[in-house]
Amino acid sequence: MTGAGPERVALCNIAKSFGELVAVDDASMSIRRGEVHALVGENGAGKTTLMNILYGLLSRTSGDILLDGTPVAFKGPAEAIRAGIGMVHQHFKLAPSFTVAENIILGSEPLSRLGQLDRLEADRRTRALSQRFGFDLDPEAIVGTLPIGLRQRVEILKALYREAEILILDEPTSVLTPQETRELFATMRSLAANGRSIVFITHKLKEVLAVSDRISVMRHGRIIATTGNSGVSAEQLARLMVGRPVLMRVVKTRAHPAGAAALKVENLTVIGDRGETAVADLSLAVRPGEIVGLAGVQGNGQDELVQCIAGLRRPLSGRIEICGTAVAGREPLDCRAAGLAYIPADRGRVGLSRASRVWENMTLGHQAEFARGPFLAARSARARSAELIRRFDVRGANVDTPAASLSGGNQQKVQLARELTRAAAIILAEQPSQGVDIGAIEAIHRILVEMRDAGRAVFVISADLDEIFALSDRILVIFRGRIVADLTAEETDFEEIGRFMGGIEGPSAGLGRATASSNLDAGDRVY
Amino acid sequence: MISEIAFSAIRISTPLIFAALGGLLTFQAGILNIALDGFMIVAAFASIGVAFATESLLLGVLAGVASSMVLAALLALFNLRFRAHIFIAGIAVTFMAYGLTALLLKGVLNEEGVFSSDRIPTFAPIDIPVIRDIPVIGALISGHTLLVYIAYLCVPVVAWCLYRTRWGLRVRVVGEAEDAAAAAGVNVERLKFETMLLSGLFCGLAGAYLSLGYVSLFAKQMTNERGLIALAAIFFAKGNPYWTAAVALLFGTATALSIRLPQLTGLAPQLLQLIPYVVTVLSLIIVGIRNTRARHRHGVWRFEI
Repeated sequence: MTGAGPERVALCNIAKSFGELVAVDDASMSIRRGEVHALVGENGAGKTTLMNILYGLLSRTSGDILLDGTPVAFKGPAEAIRAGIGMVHQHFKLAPSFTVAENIILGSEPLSRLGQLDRLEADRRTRALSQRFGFDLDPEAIVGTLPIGLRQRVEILKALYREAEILILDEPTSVLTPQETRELFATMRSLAANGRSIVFITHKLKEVLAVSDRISVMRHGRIIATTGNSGVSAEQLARLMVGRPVLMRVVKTRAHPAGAAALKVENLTVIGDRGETAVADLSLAVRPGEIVGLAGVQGNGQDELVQCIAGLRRPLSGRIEICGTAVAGREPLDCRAAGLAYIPADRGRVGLSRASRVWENMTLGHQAEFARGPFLAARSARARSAELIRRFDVRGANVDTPAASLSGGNQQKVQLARELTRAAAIILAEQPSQGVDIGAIEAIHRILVEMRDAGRAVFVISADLDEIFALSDRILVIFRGRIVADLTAEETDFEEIGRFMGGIEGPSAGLGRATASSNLDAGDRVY
Repeated sequence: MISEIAFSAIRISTPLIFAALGGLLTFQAGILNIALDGFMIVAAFASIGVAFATESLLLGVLAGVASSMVLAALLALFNLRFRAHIFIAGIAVTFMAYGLTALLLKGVLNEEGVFSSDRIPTFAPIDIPVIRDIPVIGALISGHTLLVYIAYLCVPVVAWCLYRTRWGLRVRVVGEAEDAAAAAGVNVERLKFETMLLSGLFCGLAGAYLSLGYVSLFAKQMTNERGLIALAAIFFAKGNPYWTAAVALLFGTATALSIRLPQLTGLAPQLLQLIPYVVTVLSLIIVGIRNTRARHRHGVWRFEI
């Protein structure tokens, strides 16, 4: 690790509130030249907000920002960019139907005469930059057709094109395979060695320890500790982040799958939104009493597969059986009647009605139980919700709280309470711990394991390998719409799964050798 | 006969093309501008009023454009500054424009429904040498008034601005991924404001053409929902200027047919006047089918601009 360079940025007592919500509360932090500085904290701790303030996307309520000792007040990202600050957001800020070059030059475009865009120059600069940093990017490729890993490189190049000296990466590894993550870390190290400063926002503690020089821990809007990398452990950091000791892994016994498959998918082919083959001749089965995890890099057909099982999308061909009932192409109601409980990743839009109250959300899908002719037995529905709030430990809520005002973890518990109290044989959980704080992750995982032990089939789809390994008895890997691996959790590891996720191993390994370059030919996978 | 219909189709399409170009720029920047009719009616009124008072066509057209741009700035203010929903703000601005012009028609010009005067100068047809003598096409292209030519020439100009300039790239990115543009340091609000002003400019020309170039009169609500038809053309062509102009020309042709066919066929004119609207509805149905085909989904309804 490099030694300490001079301080480039000092954030002094920054505070930011949105209405009554205090997102950042008196946070101070310094960023040195040539360091990788990890900013860790739970979801909602204020990490992204703090960095958005530095990047000029948000204004601050109070506090000072010093850049090389001089106070600055950026009115927008344009000014921050000019001052040498770049940011790669967790949700990429790219225009999908435009080319790599167009995305990179946007905002500081090369011009020829008459104010006309100089496309050749744009392509040339993009190519030169991409070679200089060892990124394998085609300037003329349409960004929307690129796999996630390459889109991230476009984002990083965008910042480097603007000569960013201080580069903020917001949760950059959440979409990458372990191999891609290692490549990213190598890039981060070499950028730091060239005198740039990297702020690495994450909640994955192993990664923090692998790459950073210094670590700042954020909790409830404050930086509560900044330490060097040596001499701290993941457990210590976790305790700082959460404020209490954390069980890093759920305890679970061996699975005892029994009986016929609760969910059976056979030769399923699905066309995606852009007319591409998103799921190709896919088959899988989940039996009662086991947790099957589906691992894969985002955009390899998981979404389409899940939508088909939930009845939200019509497959082109193939069979889906829930407890022996064929449901492919049927309505969501039919899938649920057959025994499906669905916990969608998009809580805000698919899972819950954000504007509705907790009891209303918990009663949805259970209307039949509370129907009194055309009327709803609101009082007993509310009583049941109150009971569920206790049982599932939904915090900071009563039956009348609007769902939108709950934290991610508590919204997830509301979804779980609603779905798991139905007599469902198969539980389809999509990214169950995404955007959920560590404390709630524990609870959610424990609930899913209990469901398994009660003899239900659990199918978990997650982009987060930690979660896949924490939960699964069996791990399937999806790559370009096909299942490329079916492994027992105890007999595999991150590396092997990662290789399958990147297509380096498995049936289509011939197509995809090195993850980065080969994915470029993935013209068939338009996402 | 056919060439006569074609000639009038070109003429009738002119305000549609102007309005469509105006709406297209905001469409590309991600704003659904439903106030095109409002912009046009104000411009039509200001144009004829000023032309009547000054007996100058140039001043009339300029007044039309200026008034329409003021209204556009007002809509942009509602939407961008005060964060009113564009749909509601657009309807409000349109109603305001209808009401204001009707009021001024009575208050200033002292007319009830229609205003016309011999004092209003008219545009002279332009005979283009050489082109005039080309068989078939010559008769169609030559002999229109100035604004007609400007409308058609604006199509490639707008296309060039959108697809070849820095400004155009930024507008299109704002329309597709506003936060991407903002994060790249593009001033999103200013770009939207600019497209809205240009929308006013083009609708100003459309309105001026309606009252001065087309018929030399002003009538209450004389835009006849041309703005909405222009929006249909934009949706159909997904905002591409050339295709938008082509679809606008198709709608114009349908209108020309509906005017001429009663004489030719003896059918009830009321029935044939439906043609342009039927064509519009059919084209929107095609757009709808195209969109759902692409999606292969059910259970998910989205209103996409």
